[in-house]
Formats: sequence, C-alpha cells, structure tokens
Amino acid sequence: MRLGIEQIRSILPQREPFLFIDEVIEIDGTNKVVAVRDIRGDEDFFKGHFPNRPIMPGVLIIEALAQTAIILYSVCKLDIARTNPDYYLGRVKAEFLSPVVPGDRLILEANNVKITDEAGIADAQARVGDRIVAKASLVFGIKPREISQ
Amino acid sequence: MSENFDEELKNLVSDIIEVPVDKLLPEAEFIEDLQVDSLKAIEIVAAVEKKYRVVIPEPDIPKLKNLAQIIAYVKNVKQG
Repeated sequence: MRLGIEQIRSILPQREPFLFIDEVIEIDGTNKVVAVRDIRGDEDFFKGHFPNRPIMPGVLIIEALAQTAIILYSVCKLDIARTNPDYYLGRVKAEFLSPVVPGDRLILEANNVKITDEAGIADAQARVGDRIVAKASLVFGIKPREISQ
Repeated sequence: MSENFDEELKNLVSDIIEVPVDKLLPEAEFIEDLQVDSLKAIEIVAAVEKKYRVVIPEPDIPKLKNLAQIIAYVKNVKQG
C-alpha cells in the first residue's frame, strides 16, 4: 500500500517547510511503514547548514523518522488519528552514521515496538540506498488537540 | 524464570523511571506515587515484553498499577 502527499497531509499536522515525507511506499500491516523524501537541495535549511557545503541536519532526519512514526501510529489507531490529535516526541535515542546531501533519496522506516492509544515506541532507521545513515528509537505521545481560543 | 526474577524486574523498572531501587517499593503506585506518565509507562511495558518475551495487550496495561502487579502478571503469563 502506498500513500501520496495529499493522504500524508491528511494524517500529519506538519506542513512545508517542516513536512519531511514525500511519499509512503510501503505499509506492512501494523508492523512497519516505509516512506521516502527526496533531498532536492533547495530546502531552506541548506542555506545555513552549511554555506557551500550542504548537509541535512541530523535532527531533521529524526524529524522525518518521527513523521514516519506518526503515519505508523495512524495505521494502528485510525479512529484516534482521524481526530487530528497532537503528537509529541518524548524521548529519542539516535545514532548518525553517514551524511545526507542534496540528490539523496532518503528512505525512512518506522517499525512498531509498542503502540497504545496514548503513546508509542518505534524503532526507526533512515537509509540512502543500502547505506544506513541514521538509527533511532523514538518514544512519542498522543494527546487530544486542545482547542485554541 | 530466574531465581532473582523479582530483583531483575525491579532493576529494569528502576532504570526506566529513574527511581533508585531502594525507593521503588513494590506497592508504590506508578502514576500517583512515582509520577510515571504515559511515555514512561509504555517504555516499561515494551522493556518487559522484550526481556521476558511476553505480550502485554493494551487493555491489561492500566491494570498494572505498581511493580508488584507487573511481577505477578509476568509470572502468571510465563507459568500459566
């Protein structure tokens, strides 16, 4: 099963320039979600990270993995995801193995460790081709959206 | 199940919730006494599942209010 950008936008609260998934290319039941992001080179963060030497910040790779984990959560908890709750990262244990640069196709994989109504744990990894560029254990929470005044 | 199972599980929970072992009383309630939130709770559940190769279904999680109840739950699953 695949999801296009409009379906992704219906699940994720993030928007450009902070939306880091282009397409979901695989959904393996409630076990795993694989998404992709093509690193174009015209992203705003490359202006400063770094001038004349563009490297995708590791924290943004984590953000891309966390967004993939939200998609995974929505597959597991469709009824709650449809209420557009707030998602927040609680704890991240990460390892960065290789730089990501313009022209790379970032493959983002989130595996279900445990997901409940209120929280989730995903083991995630980012790859470029067969090369693992980052690994992370993500613990995240879900809260009903507070109505702003 | 190892002889020091109770101690082992206590150490596991102690590490996650960052409460010293000597202060982690078996009957202390996770939420009310130890300020365990939903993120710490799911970390405990996932760690117990992984270490003891058990599955704790979501409806059972709210029933595990303290360390003693987790110990009893895992023993019951493993021996039952």
